[in-house]
Amino acid sequence: MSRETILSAVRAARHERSTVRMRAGIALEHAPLSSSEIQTAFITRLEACGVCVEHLTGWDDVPAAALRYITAARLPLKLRHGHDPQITSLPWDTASGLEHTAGAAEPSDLASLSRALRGIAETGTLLLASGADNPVTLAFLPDLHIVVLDQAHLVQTLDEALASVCSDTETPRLPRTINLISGASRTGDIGGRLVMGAHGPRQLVVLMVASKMRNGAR
Amino acid sequence: MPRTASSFNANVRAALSNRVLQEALGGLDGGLVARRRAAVAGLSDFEALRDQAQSIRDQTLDDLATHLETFERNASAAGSAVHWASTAEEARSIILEICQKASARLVIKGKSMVSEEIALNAHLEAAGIKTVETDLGEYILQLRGEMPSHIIAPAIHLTQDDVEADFRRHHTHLPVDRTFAAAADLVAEARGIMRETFLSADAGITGANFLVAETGSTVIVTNEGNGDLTQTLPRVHIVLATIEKVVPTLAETAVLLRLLARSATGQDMTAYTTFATGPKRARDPDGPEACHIVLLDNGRTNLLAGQFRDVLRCIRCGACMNHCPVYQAIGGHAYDAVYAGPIGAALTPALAGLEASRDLPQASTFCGRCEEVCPVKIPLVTLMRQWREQDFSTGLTPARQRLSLRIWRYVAMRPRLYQAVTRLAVAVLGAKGRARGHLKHVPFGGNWTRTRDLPAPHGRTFQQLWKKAGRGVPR
Repeated sequence: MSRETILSAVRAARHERSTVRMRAGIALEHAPLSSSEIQTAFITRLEACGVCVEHLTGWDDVPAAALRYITAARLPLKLRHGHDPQITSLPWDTASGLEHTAGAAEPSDLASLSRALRGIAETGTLLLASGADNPVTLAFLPDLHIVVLDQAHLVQTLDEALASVCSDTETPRLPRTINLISGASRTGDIGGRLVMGAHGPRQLVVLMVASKMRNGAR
Repeated sequence: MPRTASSFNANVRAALSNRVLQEALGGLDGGLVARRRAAVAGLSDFEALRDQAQSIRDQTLDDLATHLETFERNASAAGSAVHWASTAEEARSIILEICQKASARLVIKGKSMVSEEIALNAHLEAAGIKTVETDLGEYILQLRGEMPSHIIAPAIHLTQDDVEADFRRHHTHLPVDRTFAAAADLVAEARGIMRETFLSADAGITGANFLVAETGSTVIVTNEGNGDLTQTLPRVHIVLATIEKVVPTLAETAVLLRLLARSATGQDMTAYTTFATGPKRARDPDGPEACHIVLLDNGRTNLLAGQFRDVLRCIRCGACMNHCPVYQAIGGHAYDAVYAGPIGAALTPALAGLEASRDLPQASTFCGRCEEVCPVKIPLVTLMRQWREQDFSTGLTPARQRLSLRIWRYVAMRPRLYQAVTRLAVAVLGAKGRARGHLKHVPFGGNWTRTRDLPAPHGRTFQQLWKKAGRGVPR
């Protein structure tokens, strides 16, 4: 059986090295940044990748902001989001004329809204996790992907972000899908020119909601 | 491996005189190379990061069996079915069987070099399963019936005009008089066509940039988002990965991710990096119903046991080929192997046999740029030199070349003779070329001078000049 063949061949080729195994402390020894430095780094990197970042004073402003971006992109006034209670409970009546439905993305959906669990400053990356209330398809099928991020959920490094979504640090179990998103879909496959909107979203918008609680996220 | 590199010299000549190819390759230095340089400059501790990455890869390979078993256990716990394949043939059969059991008629694929290695598409197509590449570059190549010429930019050898011609030839259901003013128009056309394919596919096959042992996750890194649609929309997701792709922990994966995109495209991170752990869960609204992971050996255990072990550190960023003066001049197709450039020259002889690919390790000036940029510090020059030594010692080197090397060795090992011969050669060539400053012909150097002149030597050797300057013998 191939399993045994492969594993015994691998074992036979086993090396013992004198070097000490490196596990902990793998994270870059970055000087820790202040929360305002983290925020600046995060926004600067995302904007350099063509992502629009807007500050909102509270979650209640999300529906109206989403409507503005959908209108600006000249898309039909329809929005798809998950069953995430933090999103379904928003004051949707403040976005008059916007039709919004909960569930996985359909091929006809042109705009979607998801919630990021973390924002990663070192690379300007959003971390989204799939789950019952958070469909993966929202991030890939529509033309316009709007992501809400609580400002308190900004972290400095990728390691911190990944560790924070593990259910248990001893035997970490991840959500089915962790999506690290650093910009809209793009390709350089035709003549080396950068073109947006290859297969996924043409545009990525981040709505950064100011935290009610200070230092409450970690 | 389906192809060999036996016709390398002819390929090189064709590549050098192919003006379209030369135009396409001309963008490398200002593009991927310049962008990587900028990304590296933006990180204060890039060198420390390379050391860390090398150490992570080495230590993982040292104890690979343990990590593979951990991966298998955790992937199974998450609901994935893990399959093991020693050979390309076995991997093809496993994947075909999965597709047939799922009654798949249309299979979509994310970009996977390992699937090229095992010639998967042809095998599925032969069994009547339509197989469509979804990475835009790979899609274009599938239309053309070509292999990728680069591991991360598969269609780098093509220009925008080439792609327009291909789309006009193949997308015949679209109006003939449509215009393509920019690359964006071509992308839009492909997007429209691919959408239907994505939505109707029965199974999706992707590779994996990494396999995370402690979580049983497969990681893919893309910019187009095609890999995510491929592993999310169809009923069945199949991951094909070679055994050395395993990384013990999430923290170690993070280190490698920091290097991968920066080395490959000069991005801090690609647009999409996805950790997938098993199939759709109980209340998930989307995702595949089944997830299969095929762990393939195909020569890796042999590499692990021998002097070419370091090649297994590779994280497939493509930086070595972007920076290689040989690759920049001839492109990937000339190598006629799945993996081109320096990493291909170091890896292909192990996969396809040295006899079939003996020209590839020779196709290097040993300038060392590949080693300088390799994020996991693979000693590519040393590995290529080892192949050259094996080539010589196993008698594959042609008689004339062997004779030259023997003569060279004889002379080089006798300092007095060496000095006499070089003095004579330099004096004669110096006298002959003094008038013009260069030589049009050199004895035994016809191949070299056919396309360029040799700058005429000074008339004296370095050792003569050194002595004349009154320097002593260096210690």
